[in-house]
Amino acid sequence: MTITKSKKARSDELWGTLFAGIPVLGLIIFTYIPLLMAVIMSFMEVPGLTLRGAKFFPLKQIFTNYVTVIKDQYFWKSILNNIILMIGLPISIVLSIAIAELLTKGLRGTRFFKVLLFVPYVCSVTATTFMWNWLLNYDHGVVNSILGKNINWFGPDLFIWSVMIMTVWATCGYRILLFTAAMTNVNSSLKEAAAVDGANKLQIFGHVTLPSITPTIFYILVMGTIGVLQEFTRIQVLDPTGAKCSTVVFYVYKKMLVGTPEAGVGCAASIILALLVALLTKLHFTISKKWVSYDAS
Amino acid sequence: MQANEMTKKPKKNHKHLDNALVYTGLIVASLLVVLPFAIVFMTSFMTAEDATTGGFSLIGQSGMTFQGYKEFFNYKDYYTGVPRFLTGLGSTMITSLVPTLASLFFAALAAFAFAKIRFRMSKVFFNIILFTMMIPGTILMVPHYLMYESFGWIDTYLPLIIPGLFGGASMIFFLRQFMFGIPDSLIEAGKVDGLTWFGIFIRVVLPLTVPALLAQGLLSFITHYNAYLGPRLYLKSRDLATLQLVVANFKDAAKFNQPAIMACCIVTILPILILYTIFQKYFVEGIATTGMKL
Repeated sequence: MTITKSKKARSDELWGTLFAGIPVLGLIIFTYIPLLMAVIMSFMEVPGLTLRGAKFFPLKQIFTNYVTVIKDQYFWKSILNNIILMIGLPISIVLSIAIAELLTKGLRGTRFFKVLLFVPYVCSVTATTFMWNWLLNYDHGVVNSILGKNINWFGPDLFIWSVMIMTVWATCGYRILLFTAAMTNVNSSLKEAAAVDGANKLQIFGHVTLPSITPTIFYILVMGTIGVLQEFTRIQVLDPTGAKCSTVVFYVYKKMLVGTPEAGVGCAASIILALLVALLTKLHFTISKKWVSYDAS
Repeated sequence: MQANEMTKKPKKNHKHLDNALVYTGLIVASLLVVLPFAIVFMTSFMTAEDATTGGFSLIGQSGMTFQGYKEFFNYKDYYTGVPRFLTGLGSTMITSLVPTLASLFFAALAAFAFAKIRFRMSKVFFNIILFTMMIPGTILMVPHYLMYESFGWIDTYLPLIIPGLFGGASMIFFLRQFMFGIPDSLIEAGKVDGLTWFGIFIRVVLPLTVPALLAQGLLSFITHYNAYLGPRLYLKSRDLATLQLVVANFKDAAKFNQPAIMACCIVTILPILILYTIFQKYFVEGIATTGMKL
């Protein structure tokens, strides 16, 4: 009996490790090794877009790439644009919660609305960006025509704000679904108890619903922050050289493919970005202990 | 749905008013989604001149025309004369279907191990996988490029296919959650029948996981179909361009023909919209049941 048992355990060990090991192997090769490469290359002088001939800076000037990035005004402009895009995150969260609240009333046709509101999320960013480019057109766009004003949405001043509007439009659908799911899971006896105690709808929402969806808000906040930092397509298809607007991804992209490639500088810029993200995520997690409750539902 | 039960007010009029308000809110939100598409759809049937003379108009003075669509389908490869829409669709299919199907299989296999098999490295492996969600893709751009360059993969489909074969974090996480719901007794029964772990996976677990596989497969397919940065970085020659690159390149070819650009957007979004309409149940439920928590 003991022999078969240990044999069984060994078979579990073997097959479990093998099955789960395939993606782990893939991620080590295509995520963790490149991650390490990025760190190493940020201290190297990389000539062109190839590893051949790459060499470390002498120890005294080991931070050359970082100094280049930090002194580059264009980099800080890109960071600023990413920060502006982050404003869209709370806007999108508030809108999604409001719409999700309407969707959990259980009225007829709810499902139809749910399906419809998700549509922007499945459409390609390339195509929807051109669509919005047309809707926000200076002379012939519907938005300016409705507002009765001539707003230059894609001029250097407003470009990033227009991108922000587009991201809110594109991402709400996904967040609405996550919030609707979280809200349907809210313990209904808690709500009932609150109603019996004479709480009005707003109070029920604020004291029962909202606390129990805090894990979802937190998840969207953390992943959304990382997502916002990836913004690239919307800007690149409208402004291929990044003359009017840039983000950090665009900055790295330019260091690779526009003009003389400076791969090492690109790596240094992305490491600085990653450190900022890590800091922000850590901050999110620390603050979350104060407002996220995992036991309400 | 149950939540609705106790929000019902004793007064009937009150309830009607509430419902009207809820519907108003939902309709306004829906209009914000539908109107942009509707306007673009109308524009796509205009002549180039009508779209860009005077202010905004819904229907052009010269009436409806298919010139925009013709212009897009006439956007052809110079030598072969094949519409770029078709070559783009072909490229997109190769770079979307292969990684989607392979990653689905390997992600399911790993998820099965995490959900149903006890092995020592389980927790470590799972954390290695989950942590990749926290790594911003930006940091991998340069090293990926140099890595693929040294493999000789630049200007081939390989960088868009190979790294995506193994299954990623969110897919594994989601499938694992789903497989927790499969009763252990079924797994035990499989063992009694003399099935190996792989046999149990193929014969018992996979058939029960179909809805989850569809949900994740569709999401993955759409992500690949819509991908832009990867193709932009790695595909240099125009014959290899995926559909999204064709869209971006067509903008320059169409110049000031706005209706043609809008037609191009409509045509390239349409396959995804059809797919979404057919399988919307899996999309909506797939995401809704993820129940992500950090």
